[in-house]
Amino acid sequence: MKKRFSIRKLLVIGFLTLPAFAACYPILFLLAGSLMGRDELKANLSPVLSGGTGFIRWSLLPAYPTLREWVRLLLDTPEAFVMFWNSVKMTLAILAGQLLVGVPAAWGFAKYRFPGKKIFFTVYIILMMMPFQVLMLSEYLVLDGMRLLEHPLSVILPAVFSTFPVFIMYRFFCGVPDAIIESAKIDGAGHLKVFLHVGLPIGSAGVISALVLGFLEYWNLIEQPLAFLKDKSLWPMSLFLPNIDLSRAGLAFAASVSMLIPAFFVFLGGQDYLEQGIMAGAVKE
Amino acid sequence: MKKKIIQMLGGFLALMILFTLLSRAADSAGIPRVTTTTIQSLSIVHKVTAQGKVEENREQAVTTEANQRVKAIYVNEGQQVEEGELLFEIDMEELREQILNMEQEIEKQKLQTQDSLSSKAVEAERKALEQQRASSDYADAQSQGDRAVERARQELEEAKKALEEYKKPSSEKQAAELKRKVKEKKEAWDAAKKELQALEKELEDAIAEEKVKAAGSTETGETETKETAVPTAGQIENELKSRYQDVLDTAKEKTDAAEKEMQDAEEALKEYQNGAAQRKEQRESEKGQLEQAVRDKQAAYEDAQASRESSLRSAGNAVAGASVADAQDSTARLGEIEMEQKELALSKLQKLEKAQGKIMAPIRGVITKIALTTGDRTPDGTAILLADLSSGCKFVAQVPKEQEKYIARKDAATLIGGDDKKIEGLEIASVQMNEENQEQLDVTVNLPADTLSMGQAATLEVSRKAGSSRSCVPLETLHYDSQQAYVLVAEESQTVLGTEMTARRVDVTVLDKNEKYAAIQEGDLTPEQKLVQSSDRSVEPGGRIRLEEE
Repeated sequence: MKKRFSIRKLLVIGFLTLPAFAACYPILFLLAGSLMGRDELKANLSPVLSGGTGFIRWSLLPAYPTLREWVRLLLDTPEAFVMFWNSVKMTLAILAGQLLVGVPAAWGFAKYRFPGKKIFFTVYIILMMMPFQVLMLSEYLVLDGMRLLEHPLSVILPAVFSTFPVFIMYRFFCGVPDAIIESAKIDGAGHLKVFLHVGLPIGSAGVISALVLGFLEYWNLIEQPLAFLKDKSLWPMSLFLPNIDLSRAGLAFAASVSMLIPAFFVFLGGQDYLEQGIMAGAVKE
Repeated sequence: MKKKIIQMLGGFLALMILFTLLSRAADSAGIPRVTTTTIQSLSIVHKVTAQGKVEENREQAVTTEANQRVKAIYVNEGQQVEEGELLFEIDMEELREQILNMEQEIEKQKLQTQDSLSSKAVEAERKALEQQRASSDYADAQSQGDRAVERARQELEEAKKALEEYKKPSSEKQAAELKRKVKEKKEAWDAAKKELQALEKELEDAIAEEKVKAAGSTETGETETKETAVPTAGQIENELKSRYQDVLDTAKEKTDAAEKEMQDAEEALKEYQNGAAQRKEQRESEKGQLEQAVRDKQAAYEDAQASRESSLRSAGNAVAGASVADAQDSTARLGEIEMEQKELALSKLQKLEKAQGKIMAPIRGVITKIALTTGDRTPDGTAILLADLSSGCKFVAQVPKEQEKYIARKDAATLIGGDDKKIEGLEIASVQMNEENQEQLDVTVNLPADTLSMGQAATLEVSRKAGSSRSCVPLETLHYDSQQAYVLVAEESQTVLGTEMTARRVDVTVLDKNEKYAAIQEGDLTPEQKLVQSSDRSVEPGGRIRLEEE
């Protein structure tokens, strides 16, 4: 009986492992690629990158592992670091801006009543639904009118005023019991004190999950900087090596892996909040 | 757990900071540090310097008669001689011997020439004679031939005539003659017969008449008859017959004679005709002989003509041969010329003898070469070479051919002598290709008197200022890519790393250059552009650079 169960379990595990592996495969692919030598990459990738014939071959274990491309990335390519820090700066600025703007907005939507609140919130949700491509032109015109093109703010500001974190945090702030707020008010706390000392601590999980989600989104920005920034020195790491040729394929793999590391850490650290945030977004009223 | 993760994230970021710095450092270590300059307004001065030597301006060769034995040489190479100074001496004994030889040779030549002239005259005479003889031979041949031909022609004519004669109807004619005679005789006989008959008739008529008369008279005329004895008819007849008898007899005789003659003639004809066949044969053979004779004569005539032709021809050839001009014979004239030459040589030798075999310096100068050795014979060419001191000295230096454009005739030049003595204000006299080395130019400067002495070494300096240019760059800023010259302009450019200096390649056209600066086409560069002048490592066009602070 027990054995049968275990066989079934094994089957299930095996059945599930396959798609799990398939899902993880790109990351393994990257890791293996970043450790391959140039010749090996050339032999493997020539069908797509230099007009060779046949199909791409790939193995998860490099035949001749080397750290050459890592050394190249870390020591010989200051440009990569410029972009890396651009990404860091941009993401941090966006998250900070969202803290300043989005958190109070979410608190306001959650806890205050004002005329047109529902309409505003609906508009917020509609905006949240819109993909960037839809808003690109109007954003571009607005940024151009504000003389913000060719400036990091052109990427930062629209993201700061994004409605998605507001929506996420709104869910959490709604969960703050009104009784606590009222008792705080009775104790003489003003609106600000209530927000800072009651709302934020209770809704911190929502804030953090919004920030984690935001980080993962903005760390990987591609369209916005590409649309609004021409100066390469302002580009984020996600735009490093937009054109991969064979001589730089290894570098691209290494850069991609390095790009993955902070996101990985942030994911690990904010995993719990992330799940909560996603759940919060999933529950519709 | 979370703390750990945050620590790891922090560690990662710290690591990234570290590598950022490291890669920056590594990168900037690889960037060439350069110094820059800008274009300058300069005039390019081309300075040509060359080492050279002072040489004589003009050389004069001292020559003498060739093949003389040198007795003594009184000068050395490098020695300065005055005009008229004794240079060397010729052995007189040998000279005299040569003069004697020469005189004898001239005499010989003279005799030869005379001989040649006289033999020429004799020859001419002989020739004239020959010519004359040939022409008289020709005339003889002509007249002889003509005569022979004429004779042959006459003979031929005669033969022809004879044949012709013979061919004429000799036998027929004879036969005809005979026939004609026969006919004649016959006619004569006929006529005689007729006459006889007529006479007989006449007689009969007369008889008849007489008979009638007699009858009438008997009737009417009986008287008469009776008067005259009237004869009877028979009587009358007899009377008439006798009267006529004579006539008849002669007529009869005549007829008989004619008949006889005719018979004779006929006989003769018959006889002739009988002998005709025989005669014909004879005639045929005679005719053949005659024809043969004509043919022979004809051949003889033709032969005579041909022989006249051939003898005339050979005589004509002889005349032509005799009148052919003799080949040109210039022996005499050549001999004369040779003699003249020898006389000239002799006069020279005599002149040398007169000068006691002493050769003097023709000008004031320095001996530069002696091509003589005491005791040996003098050469055909230069015996002694003299540098003419009166015409001054010149300085000659070799300059590489590439510098040809910077040095030209009439350029101002400065000479620096061995003791740093500067001679200024000189002028380039000539710039010519070196005869031995095509890559070199000979530059000549005429030296004023008493500046540098012959053989002295000196340095030539020629500066030529090209027109000033507002775009001059130091030579080290210029780079060449095959033939195209370019400079590297330091420019700020936006890179991922921010504003960086990069070296941009700007192609320029070099108009002129000397060893330090190059003038480039105006407009190729602006005065603001910073040109990379020097760097601590090689700068690639388009590569990043760092300006060295001054």
